[in-house]
Amino acid sequence: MNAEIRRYQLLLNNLNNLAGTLQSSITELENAINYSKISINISAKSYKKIELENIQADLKSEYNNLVNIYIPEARRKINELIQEQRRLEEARRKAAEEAKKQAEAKKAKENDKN
Amino acid sequence: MIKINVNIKELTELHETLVTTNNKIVAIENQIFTKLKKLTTMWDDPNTPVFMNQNNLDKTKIDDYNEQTNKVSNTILEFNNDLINIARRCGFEPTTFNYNSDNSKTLIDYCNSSYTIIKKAKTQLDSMDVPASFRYAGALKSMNYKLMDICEELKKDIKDLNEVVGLTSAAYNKIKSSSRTELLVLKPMNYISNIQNVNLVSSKSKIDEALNSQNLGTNNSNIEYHEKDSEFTNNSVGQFTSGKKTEIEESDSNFVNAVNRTTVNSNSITFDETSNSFNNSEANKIYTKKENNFEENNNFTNNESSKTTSTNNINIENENQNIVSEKNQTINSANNNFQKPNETFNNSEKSTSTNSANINITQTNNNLSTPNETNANTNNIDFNLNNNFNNNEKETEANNTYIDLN
Repeated sequence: MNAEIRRYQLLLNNLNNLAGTLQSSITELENAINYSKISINISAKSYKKIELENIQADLKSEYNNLVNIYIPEARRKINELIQEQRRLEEARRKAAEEAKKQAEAKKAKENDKN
Repeated sequence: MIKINVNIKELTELHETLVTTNNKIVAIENQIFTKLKKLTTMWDDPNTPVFMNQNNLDKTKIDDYNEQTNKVSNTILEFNNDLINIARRCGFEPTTFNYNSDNSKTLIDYCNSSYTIIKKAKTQLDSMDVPASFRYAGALKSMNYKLMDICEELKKDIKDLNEVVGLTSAAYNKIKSSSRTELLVLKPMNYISNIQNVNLVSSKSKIDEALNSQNLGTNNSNIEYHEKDSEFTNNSVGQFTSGKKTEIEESDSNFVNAVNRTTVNSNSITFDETSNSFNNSEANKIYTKKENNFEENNNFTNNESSKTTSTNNINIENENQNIVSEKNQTINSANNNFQKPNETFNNSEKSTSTNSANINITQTNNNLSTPNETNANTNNIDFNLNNNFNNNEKETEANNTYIDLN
C-alpha cells in the first residue's frame, strides 16, 4: 500500500515537473512568435508565425489537461490511497483490539473457573 | 545586419525600364556616330582628325558604360528573381519582401530553445512511471505522441527558417558584391587651333558620296563644282555681252581664279594688268592732231589724214581710276579747211572734240560692241567701263568716240 502511494506520489511529482516544462516551452514559443512578426515578412505575411502559433496552441492544450485533469486526478488518487490505507490500519487496529479484548475476557473466565 | 525592404513589383518595373533605356541609348548612339562619320567626309579641316579621334574615344566610353549598365540591369533581374523564388518557396505571392537578418536569427534561436524544452518534456514523459491503475494513463500516452509530433513540426520549421535565411543572405550578398557603373564623363572637344577658313573638299566624287549618304535630293546652291580645276562658275551673275561667255569670279570667295584672261583680237583693246594702261596697239589708230588738208583737185575729201587717231594712253589706275590722255584727242581742229565748193565735207556735225581731260573711269557696265569683236579682259576688279568704241572698218570717226564716264 505504501508502495502504491509512493508510486502515485512520484507520478504527481513528475506530472508537476512536466507542467513546468510545458509552461517554459509555451513562453519560449511566445517569444519566437513575436520575433516572427518582424523577421521575414513576405506580402504582408510573417513567415512561420502561424505554424508556431499552432504548436503553441497544442502545447497549451496539453498543459491545460495536465494541470486541470491529470494532476488533480493523481492527487485525488493519492488521497484515496491514503484514505484506504488508514482505513485498513484502523480496521487492523480494531481487529487487534478486538482480539485483545477477547483474549482478556477468555482469561478472566478461566480465572473464574479456577 | 541585412535589411531588405523590396517591392518586387516595382523592382520588376525598374528592371524593365533599365532595359528599355539601355536599348534606346544604344540606338541613339549608333545613329549619332554613324552620321558624324559621314559628315566628316565633306570637310577638309585640320581639326577633323582630332574630332574623329575624340569621337572614337567617346564612342568607346559610351559602349563601355552601356555594357556596365547592362550588367547592373542583369544583376537587378537576378536579385528580383531570387526574391520571387524565396517568396514562392514560403508559399506566398511575391509582391513585397521585408527581411531583417538579426531578428531572423533571434527567431530561430527562440525556436531552437523551444524545441529543446519540448524535447525535454517528452523525455520526462517517456521516463515517467505511470501506474496502470492511473485513470489517465492512456491520456498521458497520447500526450507523449503529441509532444513527438510537435517536436517534428518545430524541427521542420526551424529547418525552413534556416533555409530561407540562407537563400536571402545569398541573394543579398550576390547583389552587394556585383559590379557597379562608374560615372560617364565625356570631356569637351579640344581643337588643335582656331581655324578660320575651312576648305570644302573639291572632289566631286566625295561630295556626291556625302550627299548620297545623307539622302539629300538637290543641291540648293547655284555653285557648280568642276573637277578639272578649282574654279567655280557662278552662272547666275551677269556676263559680258560680248558674245562669249566670260567667266566671272565671285568676289566674296577665296577661290583663286586661274582663268586665262587674255583675249585675242586684232582690234582688241588690251587691258594690261600690270601697267593698268590702256593701249591701243594698232598703229593706225593713233589719233593725232592733224590738220585736215583737203586738196582742191579732188572731189573727195581725203580724209585720210582725218583719221582720227589718238594715242590712247589712258591710264586706268585702280586707285584713282583716272584716265589721263597724254595727248589731245582733239580732232577736227578748227583749221580744217574745206575749200572745195562742190564738195562738202561736212565734218562739222561729226566733229567731235574730245578734250582730253581727266577722264575718270568709274565702275559701270561693260559694253564693248565692236564689229570686230573687241573684247575686254577683266581683272580681279570689276571694270565696268561703259566704253563704247565704235571702231568702223576703216575709219574711226572720232566724233563717236567717247568714253562714258558715268
